[in-house]
Amino acid sequence: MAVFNVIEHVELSSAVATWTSGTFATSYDHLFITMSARLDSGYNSAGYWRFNGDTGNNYSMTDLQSYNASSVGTYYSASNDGIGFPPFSGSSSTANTFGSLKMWIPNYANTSYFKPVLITSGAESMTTTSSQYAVKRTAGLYRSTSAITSFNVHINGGHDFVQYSSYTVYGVNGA
Amino acid sequence: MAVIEAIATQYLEADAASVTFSSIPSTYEHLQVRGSHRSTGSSGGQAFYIELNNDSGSNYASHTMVAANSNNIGQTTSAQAYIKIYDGIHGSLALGAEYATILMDVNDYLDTNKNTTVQFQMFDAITYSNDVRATFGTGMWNSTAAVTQIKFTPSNGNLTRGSEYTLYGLKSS
Repeated sequence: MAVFNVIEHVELSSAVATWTSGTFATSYDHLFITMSARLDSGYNSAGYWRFNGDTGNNYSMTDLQSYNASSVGTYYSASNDGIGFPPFSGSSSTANTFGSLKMWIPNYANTSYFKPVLITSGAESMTTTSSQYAVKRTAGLYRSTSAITSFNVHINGGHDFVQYSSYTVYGVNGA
Repeated sequence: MAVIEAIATQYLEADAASVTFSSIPSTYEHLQVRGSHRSTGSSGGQAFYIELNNDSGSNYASHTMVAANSNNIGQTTSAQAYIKIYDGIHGSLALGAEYATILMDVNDYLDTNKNTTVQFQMFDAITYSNDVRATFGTGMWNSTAAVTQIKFTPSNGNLTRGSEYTLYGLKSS
């Protein structure tokens, strides 16, 4: 049995405000999502993730983040209606530059426990100016025992993902 | 057919100035590199350079957040001749049995609509208390060309015998 399996690969042919995945099979052990995205505004606007179309206050998160050369900051939210705020490059960033995101969701189909979500992300640009880039590591929790079968992501502040933004969802098997 | 495949592994039987993966096939969607390495340079932590397609122009940037001993710092570079990662590898001042670690992802390396961006995690010099580092960051190459070559170079000295890198390809269909 293959360890890595492609569930879905999407590249945008035109801009969208909210990006919704297809429905995932629950036959794998873990999910790995890799995303490359650019926004139509700013330098490093942030994505906002929800699962299974759930808009309730069923999400928690904390992160490490850096927007400048002097320090690393943190953020924590015990209860929110999504998991934020992985940054992506925007229209003010260097042309043709897309932010990157990696997301692991261990045991996404488990129906006994809440779902941990591990995210690494960055909004790149040819700059050393504070707040014109961002790097972040996020630990999220979807406080639901339902299997995760879909996600949607939009941009905090109402911006769009632009053409050529893309993601790949992998189902990962154990032994 | 496997979705993730090992494209090549380079294991250094002798010290070498750099390691290059060349003629990277165009049959994958994403690339990953997993490596274990150290440098012969007389240093604790030292910078590590990642160059793509043999382009040594001022076309690279990097941004990191770093656990540096008991401190936290952010670091930035721009208009460099490579993706420069401060203290991304260690030299001979760390214990000889310690090799540093690099994990790197390259998204959409063939996509000519996008500049190439990478994510990396690096850990080094755990046994040299002046330069203990855990680094996470991203880098970019200001070019939309498909990536066909990746070169790793330490800033000081050679890569030490026993350093090893494996390049993986991930498919999307």
